[in-house]
Amino acid sequence: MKKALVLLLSLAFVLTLTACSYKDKLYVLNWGDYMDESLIKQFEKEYRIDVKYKPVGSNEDMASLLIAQNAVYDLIFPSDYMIDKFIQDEMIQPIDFSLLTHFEALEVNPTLASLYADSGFSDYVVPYAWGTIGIMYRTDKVGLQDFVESEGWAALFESGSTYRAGMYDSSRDAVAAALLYLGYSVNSEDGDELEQAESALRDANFHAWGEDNLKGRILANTLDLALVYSGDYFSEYYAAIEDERAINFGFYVPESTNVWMDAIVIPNIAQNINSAHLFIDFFLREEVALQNYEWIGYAPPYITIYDQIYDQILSDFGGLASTFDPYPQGSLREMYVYGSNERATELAHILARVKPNQ
Amino acid sequence: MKRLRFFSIPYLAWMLIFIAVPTLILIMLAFSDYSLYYPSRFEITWVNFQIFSQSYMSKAIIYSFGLSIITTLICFVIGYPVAYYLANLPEKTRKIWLALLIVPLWANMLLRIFAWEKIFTPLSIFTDLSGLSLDLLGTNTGIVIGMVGMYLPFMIFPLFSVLERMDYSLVEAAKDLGATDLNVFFKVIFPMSLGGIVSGVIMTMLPAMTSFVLPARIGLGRINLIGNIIESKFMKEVMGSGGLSINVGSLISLMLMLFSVISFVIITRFDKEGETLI
Repeated sequence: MKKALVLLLSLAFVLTLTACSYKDKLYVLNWGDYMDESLIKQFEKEYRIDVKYKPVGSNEDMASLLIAQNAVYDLIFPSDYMIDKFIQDEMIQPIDFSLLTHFEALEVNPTLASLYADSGFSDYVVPYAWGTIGIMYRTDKVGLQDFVESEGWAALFESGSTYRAGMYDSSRDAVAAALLYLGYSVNSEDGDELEQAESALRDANFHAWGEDNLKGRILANTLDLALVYSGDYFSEYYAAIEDERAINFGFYVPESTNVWMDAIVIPNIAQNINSAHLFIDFFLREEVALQNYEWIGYAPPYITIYDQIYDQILSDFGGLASTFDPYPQGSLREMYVYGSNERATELAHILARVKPNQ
Repeated sequence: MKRLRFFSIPYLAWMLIFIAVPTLILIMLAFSDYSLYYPSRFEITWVNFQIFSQSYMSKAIIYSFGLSIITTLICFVIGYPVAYYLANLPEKTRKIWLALLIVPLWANMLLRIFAWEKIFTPLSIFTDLSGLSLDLLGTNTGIVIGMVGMYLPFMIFPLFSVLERMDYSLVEAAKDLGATDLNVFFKVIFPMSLGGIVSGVIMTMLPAMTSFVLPARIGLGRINLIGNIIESKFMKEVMGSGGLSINVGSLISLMLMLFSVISFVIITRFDKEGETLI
């Protein structure tokens, strides 16, 4: 009994030792599986800063944690529209780019930079990853690939009873897909256009509404095609390669679509601002960035890194490379902005109204 | 006895912190425009009730009631004979059967839902075994089967507990006096098991009505029940509404709680000792 107690106490002691090895702390709020954690260890060692890393599942979760203000967060990784909302509500602060020694050299993709500059993000963000929304489909369904590639967004909305289509169960994405199908802006505030989007969503009579489980449903043959994020497709692709499964699915990005971007931002409630900049700068080091982007598998927003990752993907995965570029020349791209609270509420109502309940 | 009262303090404290206080917060939010996230004003208002004028809300209510009533009926039709059979088994075999009913309940509910989801795909393990394809995802039938699978034990246990305790000399007396089997059942057994029926019905219907993972997974998200709307109000619409969707969600939750309390009162009227509440 006594022995066990001693053992337990010494174990607890060792644990506290390793847990509090560094005095300086950095609180990071990021998506799950979105950073090579061995690099975080490396950062901790090098700068003697203890990184507290917390994964979240959605932009809304991130926002709730920030608003609740019951803990410190020094760095967060929100997406486009949520960044917009944070700027509107004055919840994030400008980045001090003079502290980021590697930022200039990496060179942000200029088309992406101008997209987010239009939304007024430039002072607040260090881009982290970007991609598109598009259509994932089964390649073993007769005629489906031709149908998707010739019809684009219409394939998703007019597949009727021939193919089973799935839609993202998120008001912003579902309405954006409908607006793209109708040829309007994904950020449309026009009542008439939104009404048309609503009837398009209703008439499409989707076979399934889901989130990141849509890709799994395509693999399970419950669905033939679905709206997915490029990241959904990539992760499924890598998983299939790893398990040595045949790739029986493809991804098509229509000519005009939405570009998503996740970026690193510093909230106003941050307390370790200097360490936050050190952390960002560490992940902008070329060799660190290369290793990290190779690990996460999404398109890097920096030209120098992108080119190297692209070459690697081309040699490793071949076919995947054709959809890897989120913004090929000659295509049309938009980026979500938050818009108003009224619009967000209206989108939620549209989503609730178009569910068939039958 | 008095000394033992001390030991109930942790439980009372638990009830206060995790039941009483949250309920009060729920009530406060449901009848006001106080935003939990952006605290600014506090005014008592009925504005949250507007949700009930939305057509999608009434649809969700109708569906929740409809599907849970059908589920409950099926559970009753299957559950009553099972409970009766169990109650009349010899002690030893009965234990085995009861274990077979209880053990699956120990498996995580989410896992069981995912299992149903797998079985209902067009090409499932069921197809491999039988050659039949249960393509039931996204259908009401699929949801009802899933709900019956999930909640059937909640119907059987209360029925079993009244039928087991029933005084069978009354049945014998009825037979002695010349009642037919059908008469015995409808005039003696059924009325005596009424307490168990009421508990069983409520204990099946309430969870069925408020489920939200099951319709999202087995229903492929095509069917919105009350639970899905509450989830959306608390999780997805918070930013856009400046936190006020939480108030609407609280109101809907409160209505469901009210429904549960009323149901509980009904149970206790039929079952004074509460013996069917497991």
